[in-house]
Amino acid sequence: MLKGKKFNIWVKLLFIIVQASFLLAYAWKGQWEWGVLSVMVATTLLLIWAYLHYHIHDIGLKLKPTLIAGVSLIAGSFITFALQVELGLSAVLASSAVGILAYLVYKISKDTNNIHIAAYCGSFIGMTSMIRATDYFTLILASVLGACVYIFARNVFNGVGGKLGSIAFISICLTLYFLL
Amino acid sequence: MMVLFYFIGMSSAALTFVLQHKVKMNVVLASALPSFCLALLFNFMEVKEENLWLAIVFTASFVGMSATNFKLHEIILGGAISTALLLNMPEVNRGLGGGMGTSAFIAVLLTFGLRTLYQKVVKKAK
Repeated sequence: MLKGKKFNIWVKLLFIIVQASFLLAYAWKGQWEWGVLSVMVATTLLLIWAYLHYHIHDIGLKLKPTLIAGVSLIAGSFITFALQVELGLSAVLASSAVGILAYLVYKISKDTNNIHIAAYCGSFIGMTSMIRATDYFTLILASVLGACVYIFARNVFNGVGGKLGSIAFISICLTLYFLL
Repeated sequence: MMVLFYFIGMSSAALTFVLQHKVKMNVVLASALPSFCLALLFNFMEVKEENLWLAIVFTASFVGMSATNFKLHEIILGGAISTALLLNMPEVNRGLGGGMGTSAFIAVLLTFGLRTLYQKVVKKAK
């Protein structure tokens, strides 16, 4: 079982690989565009530099590795996707609505597991378009994977905006490109 | 038009950051509420490229979710970078959940990277 710093390095590595590939995709338009590629490689190097120097004490939101947080994430994802598919809402409207709803549940239930953060993270997975995730099974699979990544990533990059979205992106990419 | 996109992106990031740290609103609410209001408004009126506007606002709001490790001007810069990443999003990254969040995450980390790089250069110059 990996623990502490060593464990966090693997999670950071996963983030770096996915984000580097996210950036490199900008330079691929049927063939490599070398000008854009060089900018994106420079950006990736700057990103790695930032990763290596990010030693600020985490003061941001804390992710809690509880079962209820995992379930909230899956529920958030499912509801967002259902709002898109069944009611025809836009992805942004569906996700933000789930975020507000999750916050209200968190506030009313006086929850201590930060379920609203988990549900909001899940809602990003649920923003996947129907062209990419064609059925609920794909989404549920991505959400379960997302819950795992959410738990593994609890100690890294707290307080960096976009972390929850990155978790969603990692889980959906792993699901679509490796599991299915 | 482009200038307006960037302006909206920077404003949205700043708004979420201010709502979170100055108004003391919960981080999820500070991000979701402005986008929700705008999305709701767009639901009832005809706006050209409404999905792009919403995507810019929503993506930049993730940048604004950052903690007080970051200064407001860094968040505004992050909002501009995230908008640039979103406007040039390649086809292969579109439609994937979390793509906007990843743009925001990269933008925030790039801002942090630029800050540390700048500090190192200034320190060396001294």
